[in-house]
Amino acid sequence: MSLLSIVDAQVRFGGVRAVDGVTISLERGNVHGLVGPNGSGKTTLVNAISGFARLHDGSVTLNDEQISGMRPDQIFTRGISRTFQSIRLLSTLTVRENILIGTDRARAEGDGRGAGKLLPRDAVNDRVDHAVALLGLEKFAGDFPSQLPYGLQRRVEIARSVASRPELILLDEPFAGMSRAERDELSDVLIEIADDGFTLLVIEHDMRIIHKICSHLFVMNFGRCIAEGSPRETAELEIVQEAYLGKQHGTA
Amino acid sequence: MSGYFVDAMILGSIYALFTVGLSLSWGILGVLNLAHGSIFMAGALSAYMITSAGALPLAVVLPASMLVSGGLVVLMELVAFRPIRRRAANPLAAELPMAIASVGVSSVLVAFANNFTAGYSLSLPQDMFTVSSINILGLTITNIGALIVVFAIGLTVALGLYVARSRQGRALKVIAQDSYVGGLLGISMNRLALGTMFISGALAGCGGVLFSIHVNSMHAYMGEALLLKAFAVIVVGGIGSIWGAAIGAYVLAAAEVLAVVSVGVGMRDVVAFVLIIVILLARPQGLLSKRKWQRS
Amino acid sequence: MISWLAYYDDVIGHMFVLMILAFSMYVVMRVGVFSVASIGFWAIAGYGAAIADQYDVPPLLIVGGALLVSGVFGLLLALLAVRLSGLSLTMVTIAFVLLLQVIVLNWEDVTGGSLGIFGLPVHIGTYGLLAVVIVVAVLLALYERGRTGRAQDSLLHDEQLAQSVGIDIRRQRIVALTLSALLGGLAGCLNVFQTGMMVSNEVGFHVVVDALTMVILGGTAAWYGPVIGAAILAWLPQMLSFADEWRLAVQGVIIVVVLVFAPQGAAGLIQRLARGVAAKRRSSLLKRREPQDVSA
Ligand SMILES: Nc1ncnc2c1ncn2[C@@H]1O[C@H](COP(=O)(O)OP(=O)(O)OP(=O)(O)O)[C@@H](O)[C@H]1O
Ligand SMILES: [Mg+2]
Repeated sequence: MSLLSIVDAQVRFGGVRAVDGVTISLERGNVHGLVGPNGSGKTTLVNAISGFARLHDGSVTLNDEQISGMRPDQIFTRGISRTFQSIRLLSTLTVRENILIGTDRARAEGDGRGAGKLLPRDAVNDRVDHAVALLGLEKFAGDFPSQLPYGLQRRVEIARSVASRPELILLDEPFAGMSRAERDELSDVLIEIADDGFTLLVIEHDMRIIHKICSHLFVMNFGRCIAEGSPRETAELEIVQEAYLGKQHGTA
Repeated sequence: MSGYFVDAMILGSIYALFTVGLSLSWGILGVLNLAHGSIFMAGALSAYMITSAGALPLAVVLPASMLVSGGLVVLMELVAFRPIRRRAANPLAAELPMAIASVGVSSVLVAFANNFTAGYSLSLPQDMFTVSSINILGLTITNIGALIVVFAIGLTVALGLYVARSRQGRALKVIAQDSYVGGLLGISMNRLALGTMFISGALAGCGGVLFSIHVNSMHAYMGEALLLKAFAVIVVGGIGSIWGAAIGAYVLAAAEVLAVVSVGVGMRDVVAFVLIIVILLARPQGLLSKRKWQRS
Repeated sequence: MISWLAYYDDVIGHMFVLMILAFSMYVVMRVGVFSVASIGFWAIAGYGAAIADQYDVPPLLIVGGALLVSGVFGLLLALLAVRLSGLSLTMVTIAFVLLLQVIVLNWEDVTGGSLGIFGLPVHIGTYGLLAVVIVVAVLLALYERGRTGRAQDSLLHDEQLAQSVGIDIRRQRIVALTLSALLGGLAGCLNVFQTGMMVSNEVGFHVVVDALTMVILGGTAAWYGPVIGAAILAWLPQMLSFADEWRLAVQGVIIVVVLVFAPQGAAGLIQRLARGVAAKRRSSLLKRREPQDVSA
């Protein structure tokens, strides 16, 4: 059984069909890549899974429970955590507190219904410590986000997601704006996170990174999933090459 | 019976003149201008100040007062709304501070009026406009009442057509939907904001002058009571809709006159609140502003 | 010192009442909602207390009744209002206050109309009020520590982020609006107990401006924001004694200026200073420990 199944999902904004009949499923323990040209609907698909965009048609199910139609906070407590394409950290809180926010409403493990008790304090601390260590943020836990370089701010967001120990982590362009060295480091971290047992869906333009970290790739164009499969085979398909024709990124 | 009809028409016209601008700046720019009542009052007050400087006919005083009240809202845009908008992380985040700032401006205007009038009610000089009764289509109406109706319908229709037909008007609609896309299309948010704000203030000022002639009195708080009515009108007509505001204005006026006739004077000011609550319960989604903004 | 305290006893007492009203505004603003419903509950509880006092109901019973009534009505209003968001929600709370104004002025038999109710016994002195303020402040400070405080911060600065980490916006707002109603009711009741009167002015525009001045000036960053705001507002008349009739104008200017130039208010500035100090201390500590860090 798949962890997450999306069946014929459609999201429209007025006349724009941002997601136009996508049917895909995510398998437990995998790192999934999601690529596609600008405006192809990647973010909107992530929004649809996490409850930020209303489905016009179709459904999303997590562990056999339908989550489409639920509010974002309900979907979070059922075990899906996400980051945003732009950095979303609270400037009034320290790095550690920003990560704590991810555990504040997280439920004890093994409860998929989102109705479980809130975590006890020591469990919270364990999770935060673990996430901090995983993302290599030990030295910066007491700092405020504005004191950190951009690449580290991105890591804090990922740590916030990891700390909630979700069944599925959705990352919207976590590598955007990073230097090559930072990308390489972060991709190693993501591999570690995956080894830790997390399931990931990562939006990314850089195919080099995709090849490195993903075991399964989805390619979107014009709101549709035009191809999927192992990154190497999928990237070579003609239809995928066409979608990227004239686009610099993605084939880099 | 026809007397009630005339009452409702005049009342509805005042509501329309007041609300159209309020609804427009809310719907298009996300500015809930809580100083709108004070702007209405400022129109009347400036008419008083102008005429106390020298005897002038309404044909001069009215445009001058509209210029003043429109100018005041433009000033608000420049000193308060624009800086707040520029600072905000996103357009939605600016909405609440802008509304709060408008209360601050309102407070300044009310204080000024209170000091000027020493807390009393004033009336505009008779020689500016002589009120008399006229007969139109068998209806007896005062000439100022007729003027109010003509101005309300004329200005609303003109504005509605302008927004629907002209290039600038369509640009307004684009901005209302998405100021970011508006920027991409080369629409200057700042210029349109100034225009919208000016029109909004001028309409309110026009209403204020005519209303103070109609009831032969004006005072510092004369606009406050209208705010509640305007909210009901906006709830009925939809945020940002000119035609909606016009229709809502007459619907509310008719409902109020009906309530006064059938229940009693005490009911008049409750109708608006009841209308808001009922519509709120029946279809809250209709109330929600169409502006939806997502940063992801 | 003692004589100074005695001389300004009324001002200090009123300052404490204002602090509770400011807390009431603060708890909703803290979760990113602009509501003026506090003034509504301040008025309802105020008139309720004044009327009950005329019938010699024991003061403690009056406070209990005020809390019960504001809590229940606050919850009802909250359930209704959270169906909306942003400016629409604000609008409903303003309509609520405007309706109360109409009721107070028209229901003369009960409210005393524009004159109000006065000549009531004074039930609470400055020390009693201070005790209430301390209790409320401590409870609020405890309440906003840890999990709840972080949730409030995220709602204040980034609703989408709040939702993405599992915070139920509606529930948070219902809690905040109800809490705000309780505090507003408490403040209104204590106001009557301190001054021995309730006048229609207390539902008026100037209370809205007062409340906003406090919460904007103090800021919504932490519980001490409204304390600072109320302290300044209470002493404003002393500072402006030469220009009392311009007080509203001064407050209006304060609101706009703070919103434009220091939107985080006094508490936000204090927090930012504290953050700067903490950061500096940390970095100097780190420098001293640098060798260890490298080896680790
Ligand atoms: N809130 C919205 N309102 C209207 N249209 C939207 C909205 N969000 C997205 N769209 C439109 O939907 C389409 C898909 O956008 P989306 O952000 O999902 O693309 P994307 O694949 O994430 O692109 P990018 O690589 O630039 O992040 C675009 O045409 C976009 O303009
Ligand atoms: Mg995107």
